Amino acid sequence: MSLPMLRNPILVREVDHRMRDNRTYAIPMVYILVLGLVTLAAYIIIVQTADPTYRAAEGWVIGKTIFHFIAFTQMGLIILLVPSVSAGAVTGERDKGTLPLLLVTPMPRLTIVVGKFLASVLYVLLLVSTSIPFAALSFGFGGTDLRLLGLTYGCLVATALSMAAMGLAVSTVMRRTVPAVLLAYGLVAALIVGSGVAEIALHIFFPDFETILFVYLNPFTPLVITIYEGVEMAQAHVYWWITPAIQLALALVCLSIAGLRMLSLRD
Amino acid sequence: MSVEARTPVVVAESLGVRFGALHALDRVSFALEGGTIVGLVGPNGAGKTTLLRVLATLLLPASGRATIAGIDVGREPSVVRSLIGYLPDFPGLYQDMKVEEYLHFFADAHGLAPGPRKAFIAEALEASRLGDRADSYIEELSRGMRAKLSFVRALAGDPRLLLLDEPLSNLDPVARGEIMEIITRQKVKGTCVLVSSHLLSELEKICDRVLFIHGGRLIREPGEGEGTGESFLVALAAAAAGETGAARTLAALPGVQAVEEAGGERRFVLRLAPGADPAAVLKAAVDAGLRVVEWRRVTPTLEERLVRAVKGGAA
Repeated sequence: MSLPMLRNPILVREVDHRMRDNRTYAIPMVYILVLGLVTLAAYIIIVQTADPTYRAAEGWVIGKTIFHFIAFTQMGLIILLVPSVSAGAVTGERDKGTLPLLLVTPMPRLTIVVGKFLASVLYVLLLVSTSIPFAALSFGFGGTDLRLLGLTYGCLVATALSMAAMGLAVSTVMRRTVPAVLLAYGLVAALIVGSGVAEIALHIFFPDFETILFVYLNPFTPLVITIYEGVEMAQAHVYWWITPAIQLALALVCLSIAGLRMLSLRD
Repeated sequence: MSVEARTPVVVAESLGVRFGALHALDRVSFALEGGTIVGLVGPNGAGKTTLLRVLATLLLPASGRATIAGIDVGREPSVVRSLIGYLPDFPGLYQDMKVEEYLHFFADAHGLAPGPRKAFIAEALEASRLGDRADSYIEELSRGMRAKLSFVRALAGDPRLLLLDEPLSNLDPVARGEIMEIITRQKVKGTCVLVSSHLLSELEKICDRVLFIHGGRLIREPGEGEGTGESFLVALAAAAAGETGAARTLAALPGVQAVEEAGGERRFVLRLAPGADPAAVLKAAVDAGLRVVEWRRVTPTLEERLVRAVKGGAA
């Protein structure tokens, strides 16, 4: 982050604002609680369903299962939380009547976009970082390694970036917060559900098509791929990195849309 | 007054804005100098806010152009924004911020270096008399305090043009007086202030000049630009037997430019031609058989001027 970026008044203001909002502390608490329950549930499930020929489930199985449970839960929480945070970034200013005040300052419009985007992303990264103790727990059991950890957290961050950018773009297009949040969730649903429907249609109409295409748009896809990694995914031409690559491209496109909209925004 | 102050800060040339079929602004042209307070008055929906938004770079004109200190508002809005201060009719506030933080934020948004930023904050707190509330959250302030804070926020960056949309509305007389005092200080500093308000009695206390706007067009008062002499209120006694058409008789007197009914029976306002001798006009009225019971010089209020302009003004 360059020095001018650190001096971004919007970013400073947003971070200050979040630090004063009780929800900023309540949401991570709920987030950690959910992750804790999921970890406990994963442990109980794997121990209860362990192969009876063994006295206990092997540690690496427990560790890997906990890790995947945590990863899926986090992905779900990111998808649920980020659009609501970022889709109100600009519309919220309009609702409060502060948008014209920002727009008539000499501050470059891109500063507003970058500040709002980084503020949303930083908050999500805070949430994601709270899960690290749980991930460390799975390390204790074995079954995970640094590569899987990096890969999974990379996918989570890529999803957070794309969701934040998408919400921000929606926020610059819509005039009010509630419709903006609904549209952002609609787009997320389209990525998850719509991509699945499109994939099924693809394989119905082109039964000879042997690999996957549309489900790469689904943020959960790389997590599924990592579960089955080593089970001949490469031979099936299925790669975990395609989804985060798409998400980063989507984030750039959405940020460009947000930037262009802000440049032309009058009030 | 300096030469710079006399140079037009704002020049609008045939500005036009349309919202669908509605002409929100229609061929609006004017020039405003620095160091002046200009009132922008007109009925609701006249185009006051639209004009202020165009000058604040928040609305692109469909036709015509406006410049601020020679910079085209439509072509170089980012430069113009460093020259203006804008107070919208419903200015939002970040309720969760403290007073000083709020000013600090907008100083940063104007790119002020630490020195000028500190000076701006100190000056703003002093002007708004919020120095003892600098550490208070905005949500704890009274309406008047919030209005003053919104107002001084618009002074960040030492603007050459202040655009104020209804800065006096919903305020008690004390708060109004304090805001008018700050406006007057800006004039002394050479700032051009364009202020819209429906509180005309307050506005006329501080304005050097008034722009009347109606139906998206700037309108002139009847007789404006033709040269106007003094105005006199004439009250006549009950009509004498056989007397008809007092107003017509008054209008026909030498030196009388216009006659308007002044409310009440047989009360009129005479506007004399430039250079006309009031004593001669009065004598002529008496000689014409009118029984004058009251004759006094009047200065029309801004409200009267607005009504007159809207009813009979020309574009």
